[in-house]
Formats: sequence, C-alpha cells, structure tokens
Amino acid sequence: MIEVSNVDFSYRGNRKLFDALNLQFEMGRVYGLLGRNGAGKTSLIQLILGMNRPNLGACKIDGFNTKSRSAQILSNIFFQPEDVYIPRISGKKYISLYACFYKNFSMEKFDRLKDEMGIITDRNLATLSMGEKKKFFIGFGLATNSRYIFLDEPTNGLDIPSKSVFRKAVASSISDKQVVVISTHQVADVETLIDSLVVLEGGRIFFNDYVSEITDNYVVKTLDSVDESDLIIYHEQYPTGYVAVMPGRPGKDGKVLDLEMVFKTIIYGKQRFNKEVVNER
Amino acid sequence: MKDNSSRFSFKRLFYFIRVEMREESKTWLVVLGVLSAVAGFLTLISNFDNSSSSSFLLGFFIPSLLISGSIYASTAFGYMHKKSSVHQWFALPVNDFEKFLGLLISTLIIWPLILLFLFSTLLNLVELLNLALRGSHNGFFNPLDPAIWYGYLAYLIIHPIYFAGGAFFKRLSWLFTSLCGVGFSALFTFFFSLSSAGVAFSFLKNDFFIEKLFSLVLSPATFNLQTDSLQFFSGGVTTVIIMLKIFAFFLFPVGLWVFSYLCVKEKEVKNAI
Repeated sequence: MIEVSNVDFSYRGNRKLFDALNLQFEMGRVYGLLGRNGAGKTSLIQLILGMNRPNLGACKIDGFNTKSRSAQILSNIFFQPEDVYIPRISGKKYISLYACFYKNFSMEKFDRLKDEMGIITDRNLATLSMGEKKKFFIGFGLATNSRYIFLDEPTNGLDIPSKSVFRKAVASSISDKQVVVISTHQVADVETLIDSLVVLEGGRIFFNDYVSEITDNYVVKTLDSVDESDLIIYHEQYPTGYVAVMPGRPGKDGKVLDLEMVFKTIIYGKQRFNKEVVNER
Repeated sequence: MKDNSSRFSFKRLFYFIRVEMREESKTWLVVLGVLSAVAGFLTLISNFDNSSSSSFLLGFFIPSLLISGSIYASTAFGYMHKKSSVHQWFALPVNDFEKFLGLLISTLIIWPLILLFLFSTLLNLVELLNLALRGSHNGFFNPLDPAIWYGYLAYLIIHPIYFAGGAFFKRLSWLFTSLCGVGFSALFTFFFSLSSAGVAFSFLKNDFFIEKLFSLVLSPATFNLQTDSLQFFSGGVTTVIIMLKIFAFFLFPVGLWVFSYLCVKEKEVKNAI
C-alpha cells in the first residue's frame, strides 16, 4: 500500500504546493489522478517515488520510506513519465539491458502485449514515433509486473485505435495485487479503466474514492433553467438549455455522469459538493 | 526501518555498469575513433628516432587520458541532470550508491583501460606497419611502462575534480569545473604570493616577529647542530612529501568522491508540477 502522511512540500522559493497532505492508494485499484494544471499531479508522483523529498511528513510504500530510493522499493515500481527518455537502442536491446532490474519481469507477458498492442522491438527506439515509443514503454512497464505502476499522461501521442488497445492491455494485465495510478487530463481515454479517483485541488486531496460513489448517486439532467432548483450542484450552459448535475439514480432520474463531468462537478461545484459529498468522507 | 535491499548488490552494480557502457558506447566509439586516427596518423608520419619514440607515444597517451577522462567524468551524471532523462534515472531500481559507484568505476577504471587497450593495439599495429613498409619504427608502445602509471596518478587527481563538478553542475560541467579550478589556482597563487611577499617585506623591514622566527632558525645553536638539523630537516621534508601524497592521492580524491555521492543522494527533480 502507498501512504502519504502529513506531507508538506514546496519547490525552493515557491509557494507551498502541498499542505499536510494525507492519502492512501489501496491494492487492486486503478486510480485516476486528476487536477487542474499546476495542481501537483506529477509532483505528487515524484514525492511518492522519492524523486523529491517532502519538507514535512513521509511517503511510504509497503511501510518503507521512499526517500531512501532503495532498489527494493524501486524494483516494485514502474513509472512512465509524460516525456519518456529514449535511449538509442532497439527495443530488444532495451529489454535485455533493463528487464533484469525488475525481478518479476515476464517475457511471455511482454510478447503477448507486443502482439496485442503492435509494439515494435526490432528498430532503434529513437527512430519510432511518439505513440510507438509510448506503446513500447507501456508494454514494458506492464510486463515488469510491478506492484505499483504510475503512468503520467499515458495516452498522449497514442492514435485512436491505440488508446482502445491501451485500455484493453492495462485491464487484462493487472491483478488485485497491483495498484495503477494514471495521471491524466485526457479523462475520456481512461474512463472505462479507472475505478477510483483522486482529485488534487489547492494543495489538498479534494476527493479520494470510488468513481461509483458519485456516478451511482448523481445524474446529469438537461434543464431549461437552473434557477428553480437548489439541488443543482454543477451546471453548464448550452444553446439548447442547461446540463446540470443533481442527486439522483442513474437511468431513473437522469443520465450517468461521465468522468469529465464528475471532475468538473468536484472542482467547480465544490461549494455545494463539499457539503454533500467531500466532507462526509 | 531498513529494507533488505538498501544493501549493496554487486549484481545490480554490474547491470548498471552494463547499461552505462551500452548507452555511452557510441560516444566512446567516436572519441576513440578520433583519438586513434590522430595518434595513428602522427605515429605514421613522425620522424623515426627510436630513442624518443617511447616518450612520443606516451606523450600522446597521457594527455588523451587526461582530456577525454575529464570530459567523460564531468558528463557522467548527465542523465541525472537532464530534464528528459532524470525521471528514468531515479526510477531505475538501483540504489543511489550503486549508481554513483557504477559511474565512478566506468570513468576511473574502465575508460582508462579501454583507452590503454586501444592505444596499445593501434599504435603497435601502426609501428608494425611502419616496420613493414619503411624498415624502421618509432619503438613499440608498452602499456606497462611506468610513465603510464604516473599518467594515471595524474588522472587520479584530475578525475575527482571533474567527477564532482559533473555531479554538482547541471550544465556545461566541464567548463564550469575548469573555470572553478582556474579560479581556485589563481586565488591560491595570489595568497601564496601575498604571504611570501609579506614575509620578505617583513624580513627586510626587520619585523620583530619574523626576525625572531628567522633568528631561531638561523641561530648559532642551529648551525652548531648542522648535521642533526639537516637530518631533521630532511626527515621533515620526507614527512611533508608523504603527507602531500596522502592528501593528493587519497584524501583529496576520496573527499571529492564523497561530495559527488552526496550530490547524487541529495539530488531531487525540480519544477515538474
């Protein structure tokens, strides 16, 4: 399990980014790590991985403080940054050089993913397109069978068919002994994949729960006017009327919220949402 | 709480060095190609004079080692500093100490050995060619020549400076380290000259303290014990030389390597919100 306890963090000379941050990532869940630009999604991942050290508090993985950057902790983690560093070697060579660092790496799994995702291994990685490079590293990362997989904007650069293949590959590759954390702005790309949501806002964890906690209890309705209802938590104006998020049973009282609407409801509808949902947790 | 694998692992160290060698191999090949082309060409066109040939070849090897080695040492931490590779550097499951040690071994031992092997092979081949084509040669390159070891000892002093500079400076580390070296040398020379001038001036002006000091050193009692004094002086010089050697070849490099390790250990990824 990943535990972030009372973490204060700021980059040198900048405002405080996290203030007494507390968070847990539980095994067997696929988390979507969402937040506005500059909310600190990548910084949070870096803190968890020991790439940055908190000013106060601690980040622990399986009980071990990650600031030591010990090989044992790191061998259980795969992190794919948004901009992947590409060595000038072939995919095959990359695997022969780097797979040995991950004790659970499975070549069979990589070969399966290679076929499923159309990963190229016989060409110099530096000559591949951005999407091809990402597919290679995602395939490699999943084949490491690491207990903790962090993917930062994994679908950036992937073409439309590859995004679907990516979702299938992740869904078919992870077990309940793993945690996957996907940091992204492209929520639609990972909508069917993630089951839990962590929303960062104002240096704090604004929401950390199953997506279903919202999608099962709130619905989207199309209204002519939004003045008359106190139940509206968030709304958007369209030429034909308003789209509003309100308490209700999906299918019965309105449509199911998509992830983008869930995020906007959490962030922009927060005054109301704070009272009804967030503070109850 | 300590986990098992904060322990040092030779296997991981070996894997890391293998990655380092593979990733640097193209740069190495280019450098080796240039050096061997220049060395081979100079050897081939040089005047035949067996007496000076050995120093000619060694005279080329040692600067090659010092220059290429200092550049390699100062760029060894490039992956740790570059924004494009810093995440993968830290996410690689190898302890900070193993990463540091892997780079130290690569720059301090593997690179000089590769260079020595290349020079031995290439220059001796060129000399064989000289011998076959022109009937004479410059003398063969002996990798076990004592001068090689003196060159390596010089590298042992240069290496930690550039290695530490590479760990500390994010960009243009070779240049900044060289500038720092020049700055420190200038500062040292300035203060040494200033203190020497001060001593000389005080002596000429009959400064009381200096006079006392010199009178003690040059007193009749001292002259009466000339033989003992010389022996004492000689022993003192030997001690100072030993201490200087310990400082230059042990304390100084180790101190800078420790500094380099601390730079790696304390390094964090900056500004990646």
